[in-house]
Amino acid sequence: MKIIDITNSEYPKQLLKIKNPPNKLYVEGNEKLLNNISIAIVGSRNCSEYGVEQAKRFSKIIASNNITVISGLAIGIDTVAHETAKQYNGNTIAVLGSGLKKIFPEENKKLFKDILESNGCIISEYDPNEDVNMENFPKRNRIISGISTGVLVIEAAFRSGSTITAKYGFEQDKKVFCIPRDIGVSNGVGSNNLIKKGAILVTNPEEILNELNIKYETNNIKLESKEIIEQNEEYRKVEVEIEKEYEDIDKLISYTPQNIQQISIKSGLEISDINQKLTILELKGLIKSLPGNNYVRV
Amino acid sequence: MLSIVKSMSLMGLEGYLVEIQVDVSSGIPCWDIVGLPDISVKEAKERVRTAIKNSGYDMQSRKIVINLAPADVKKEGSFFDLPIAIGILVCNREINEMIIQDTVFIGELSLDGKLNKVNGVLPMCIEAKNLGIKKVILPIENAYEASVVDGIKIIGAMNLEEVVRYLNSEIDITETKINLSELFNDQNAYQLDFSEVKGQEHIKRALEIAAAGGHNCLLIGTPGSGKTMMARRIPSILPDLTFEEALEITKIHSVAGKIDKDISLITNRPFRAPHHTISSVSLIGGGRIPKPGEISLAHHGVLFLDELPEFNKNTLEVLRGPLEDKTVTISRLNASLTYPCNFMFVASMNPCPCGFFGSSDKQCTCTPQAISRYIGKISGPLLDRIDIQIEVTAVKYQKLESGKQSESSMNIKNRVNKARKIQQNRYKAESIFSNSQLTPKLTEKYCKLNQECKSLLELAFDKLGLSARAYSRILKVARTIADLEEKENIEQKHLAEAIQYRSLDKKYWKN
Repeated sequence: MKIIDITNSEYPKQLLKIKNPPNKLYVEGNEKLLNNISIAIVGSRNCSEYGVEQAKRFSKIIASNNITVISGLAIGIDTVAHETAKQYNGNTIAVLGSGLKKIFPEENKKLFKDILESNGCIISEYDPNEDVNMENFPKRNRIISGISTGVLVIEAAFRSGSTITAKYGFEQDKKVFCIPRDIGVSNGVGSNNLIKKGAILVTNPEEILNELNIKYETNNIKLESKEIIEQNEEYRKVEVEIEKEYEDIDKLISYTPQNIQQISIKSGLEISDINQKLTILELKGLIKSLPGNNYVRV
Repeated sequence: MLSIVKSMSLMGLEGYLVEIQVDVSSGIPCWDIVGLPDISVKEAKERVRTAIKNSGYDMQSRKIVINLAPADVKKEGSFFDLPIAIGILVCNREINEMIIQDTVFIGELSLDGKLNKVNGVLPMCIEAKNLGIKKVILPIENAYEASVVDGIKIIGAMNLEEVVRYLNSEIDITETKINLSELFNDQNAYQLDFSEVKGQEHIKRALEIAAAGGHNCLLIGTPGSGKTMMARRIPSILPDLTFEEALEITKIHSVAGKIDKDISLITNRPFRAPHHTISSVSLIGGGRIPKPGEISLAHHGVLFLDELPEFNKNTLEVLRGPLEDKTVTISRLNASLTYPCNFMFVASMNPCPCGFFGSSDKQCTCTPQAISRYIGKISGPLLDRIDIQIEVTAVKYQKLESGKQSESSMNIKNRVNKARKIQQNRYKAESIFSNSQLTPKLTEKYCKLNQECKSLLELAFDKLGLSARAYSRILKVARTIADLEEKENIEQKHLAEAIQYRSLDKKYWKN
């Protein structure tokens, strides 16, 4: 572990510009990342399936364009952002609201290790043995927004931690991006309010890159994503060709979650048949089961 | 003068003969009851004295000594009132001594001489018959219950005077008799039926499998999704009761005093749904002199625990032994008694503290930690004993209207009966009756998998992150599904369906 003082040349330059920068940072891992161009991806702990999908999509493009993904090691969107960045060999920084030896939440201890192993970085302004204190979490959000070039909010409830990060972002003159959400969904109230206040509405990760004037190789990304789609389609075709009998159920399941009762009514098949086919399709990786007997296409 | 009157008492679920020896002699007027009576027996003195007086007989001022033999067993209950009164009246020469031989008297007296209903009459009468007793005289409210016992004359009387006049041949009381086959024809009158449940086909299917294999099951669902409604209908698809089973159930209910006066034999499988504030003693049985608990009252039926995580943790843990052994032994200072408790365990719970995890109508407000903590309230060993876990979701109103006609419980029951027969034949040599009772060794013997199935199961463990303890559960359930289809071997499709019934093993619970 390293301690970087505010006078140290390695201290993140971006952080010097904010109103109340921490006097010292405790750093674990690759401290060089701190001065990289970066995007903070923050969002609800209690996120929806949609939020997870979008966090993956954005984090992937951002990380694979050599932009560091910053987040808070919380569960939900934060975890997805860190994990996806790691997965695509990108850089990621986690900013903790507690000491580096007091990892919170417990279940992300493994993620903590994984980030360090993948040459990422974890920082905190608190003494390594400082206990977990909920009051400190909103305060650390100023560091998340402070060291990053822009802030992306995915799914924020009304008056949540993510909206606090966005608020700091506005104060610190950062670009704040936001993904819209349906009216009436509690996870969207905060996000939609941010858009009203002037956050930039984004629907594609490329828009963030454009906004920050980051050059990216259009072909590269497009090609890659195209390839994956093609691969997926091919994969699906092969599977479906083998198992003709599963076609009827497979067709019924779309990208919006469907309840087993809907599937049963629509297909008109015996329930034992449906149960068995759903298992096989899930094992083949074509569909995924969600809480409450819902199924969705992968 | 001395008189000896026969009566019965209870030791757990078995009756035993008690001789009431009454001696009335001259001396300072007093009463004494010996033979380890408890308060309720001792109080018989006042009831008997007043009842005799108010029935119009002369209660002479004499010294009365009563002994309850065998004298080394503690006795409780009010059913010795009638035999004590008869004993005194015999000594007073109101009744002929010879007439009361081969007759057992059971009953509690009111002050006005009326005979009151008592508990545990059925096991007493069964034992009386085994001892060669010819006639039982008891309160009329207990007559139907006792009349199930064949080969013994059951006389139900209204009051003490009636008993005395009957014994003196002044009046005649007709013997209470019932027609057993008629009773059993009547049993299909279970009021609840699965045809009243619209939709929810996958739950019905899961419950059909559970009933066919005797599997315990757990229903997980949002409030108002119909968990309780479905569970209440499980007895309607369980296999028919045999006479022996019905007798066993009735015995337990008789001892616990849960039989109505116009019911002779319980011919429907019991459904017990205790509230979650229940104590462990009332759940498994107990008390100073042990009484059967809810699990024994659910013998051969269904024990339904609604809102499982709300139950006291210790209360749930006491279920572990009885769920395996199918009997429960309760040891107290006064006695150590064993009650049977072979029940199907059905429980229901919400998926999370707010209840809406996975619901499409309402957003869940719980954090993932709160959800895992909630699920974690049910201990692993208890979950280990539950083969089928299934998620229940609410059916929307529009859907209730459309769709095909729901299947009746009768049809489902026929399939269940068939599958049970197959199991009974297969396990003849193993002294078990259903797939749920398979031990690990027997699972290996009877749930053989072919290569295709093995690779499917491996894939499932790999992809769905099933826990190791799920393995034998899936095999047992797959065996039952194969039995329902009357297939000799477990096939891939049976296994695939069985995997569906491991809801709690799915990844989204493990945050």
